[in-house]
Amino acid sequence: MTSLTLLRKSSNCGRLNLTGIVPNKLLSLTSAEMETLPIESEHGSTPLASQFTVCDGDRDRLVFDGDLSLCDHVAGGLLSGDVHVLGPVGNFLASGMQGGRVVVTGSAGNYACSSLRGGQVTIDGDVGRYAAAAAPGASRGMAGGELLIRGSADEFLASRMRRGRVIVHGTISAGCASRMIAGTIVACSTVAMPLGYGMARGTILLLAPAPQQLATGLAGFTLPEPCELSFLTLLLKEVAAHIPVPQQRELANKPWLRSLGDRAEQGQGEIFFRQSQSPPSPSLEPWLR
Amino acid sequence: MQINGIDIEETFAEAFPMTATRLIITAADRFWALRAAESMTGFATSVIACGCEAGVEREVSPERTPDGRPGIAVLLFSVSGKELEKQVVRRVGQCVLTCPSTSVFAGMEGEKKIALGSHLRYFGDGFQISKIVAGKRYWRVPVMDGEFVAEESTARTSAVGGGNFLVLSESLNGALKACESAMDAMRQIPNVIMPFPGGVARSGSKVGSKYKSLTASTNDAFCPTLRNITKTLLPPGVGAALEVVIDGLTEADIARAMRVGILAACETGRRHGLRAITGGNYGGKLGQYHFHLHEVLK
Repeated sequence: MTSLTLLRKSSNCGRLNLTGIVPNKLLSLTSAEMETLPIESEHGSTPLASQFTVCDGDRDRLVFDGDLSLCDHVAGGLLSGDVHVLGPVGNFLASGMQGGRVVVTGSAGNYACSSLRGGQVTIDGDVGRYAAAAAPGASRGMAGGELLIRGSADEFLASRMRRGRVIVHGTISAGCASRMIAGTIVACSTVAMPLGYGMARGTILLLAPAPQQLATGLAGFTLPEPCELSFLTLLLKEVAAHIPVPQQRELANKPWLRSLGDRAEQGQGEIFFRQSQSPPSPSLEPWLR
Repeated sequence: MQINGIDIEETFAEAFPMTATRLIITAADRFWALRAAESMTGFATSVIACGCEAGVEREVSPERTPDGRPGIAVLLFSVSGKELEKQVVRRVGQCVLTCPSTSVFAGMEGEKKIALGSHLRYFGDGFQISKIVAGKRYWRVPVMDGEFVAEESTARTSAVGGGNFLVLSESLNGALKACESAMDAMRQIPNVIMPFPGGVARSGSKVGSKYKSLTASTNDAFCPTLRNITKTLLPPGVGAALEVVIDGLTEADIARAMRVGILAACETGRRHGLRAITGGNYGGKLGQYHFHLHEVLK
C-alpha cells in the first residue's frame, strides 16, 4: 500500500501550523474527515484540503510533498509512525514529538526539534537558528530523541538542550551548546566560537580539527587534558553509524583531549576533541564501515 | 544404567527456583577483568549463608562487549529479586568498582530490572555523569584511574538453583579426577555456573538438622566415616563422595550441564576407581525441579 500523502497546494494564506497532522492522529479518520481537519493559518482556521491534496494510503507513514517552508510545527505531536517531508519545512519542526521518525529531504527553519522528547529526526538540508534549543518562553530545549542534521546548523544549536543526541554533518555557527543542561552533540565539521558558553553538563564531541581557542584553553573551560575513557568507545561505537565515512575514520584516532566547563557557572560539561591526526586505534577498526 | 562401566543410579537430583542475572565485566585487559569477576563471585557458594550463588560463566571477546574491551560474564543467583539486587550492588561496589580499569554492563535483557549503576553512581559525590547511549543509560563515576562506567540496571530472570550429581568413588583422588573432568566439560556450557570451589562441594548437605537453628547439616548418608553408624547410601567399596552443584538459567541448561558433566566424569573416572553417579535426592523436600539421571542421560 502507498503512503498517505499530503500534496502541498499553492496558497497565499501565510504561515500554517501543522501541529497534530501526524500518523497517530490520522489513524482512525476517513479520507473525507481528514480533508475537513482544521489547521491554523495566519488568517484563521482553514480545512486541510484547502492547503493540501489528500492522497489516501497507509496511515503509518505520512508523506508531505512540496514546499513546506511556510509550514510550522510539521510533525508536531508525533507519537508513532513515520513522517516524510519531500522538501523544506518551516519553524518548530517536530515540536512536542515523543516517538516515531521524521525525515526531511530539504532544510528546516528555526527552532527545529526545540521541544523534541523522543524519536528520530533526520534533516537532509540545513537548519536555522536554535535547533534543539529552548523555544521562546521555554526553560529547556530538546529533552530526548535523536536529531541528525546532514547540512549545517545556524546559531545557538542546542542552547539549553536537556537530553538526547544531536549529530551535525555540516558546519555549526556560533553559540552552540550555550547553557546546555545535558545531552550529546557530535560535530563532524567546523564549529564557530563561542562554544559551550554557560554549559552546565552535557557532552560535545568534535570530530574535525579543533579550533585554536580549544587547544589553548577555551574561556571558562579547563585546559585540555588527554583522556582514555572506556565510555568514549561506547559513544563512538553508536555514533559511527550516523556520520559520513571520512569522519568514521577519524573516530578511531587517538588521543582524545577533554575540557570541562563552563567553570564560570560551576559547569561540568565536557568537550572532547583532538589536536592532530594519529594512526587509528586497532580496537575500533571492526566498527568502522 | 551403566556408562563406561559406571553405575548411574535410578534417582533424581532436586533443584529449586531462584532468580538470576548476568553481568559483563570489562577491563583494560583480560587479567583485570578476571580479577574483578573472581573477586565479586567470591564467597558466593550457597544462598544458605552467602546471600547469593555466583560464578564466572565465560569469557567475552572484545568484539562482543559494549566497550570493545576484554570481558568476563558472571551469573548471580539468589532467592529473591530484592536479595539479588542487594548482592549485586554490594559485590559490584566492593569488587568491580574498586578493581582498576573495569566497567560493568547488563548481561541480559528483560522486563524485571535490578539496580546497578543507579545505586553505585552516588560514589561519584555529585561528579558522576549520566549518559544515554543507544537507548541505555550509563553512569560514569570519576575514580582515580579515570572513570568507572556502569550501566543503569540489569535484568533478572527466573532461574533454577541446586542442580547436582554426586560422584561416588573408591578413593578421594579418584573422585577428584572425575570431578575435574566433569568441570572441564561443564565450563563450556552457557547459562550455568558451578558455584562451589572448583565447582565441587565435599560437604553435601541434607535438609534440616538436629540443631533447631540450622536449616541444613551434613549429608550423613554419604559420609564414608559414618558408614557403620548411620543409614548409608554409599555402595560397598566407595571411599569418597563429591557433589557437583549447578545453577542455571533454565531447567534445560542444568540438564545439559548435568549430562555433559556426568559423561565426562564417567569417561575419566573408570581409570580412577569411579563406582557410581547418583543425585542429591531429598525425598522431594528441597525443590520442585527433579532431574532424573536416566532421563538426563538419554
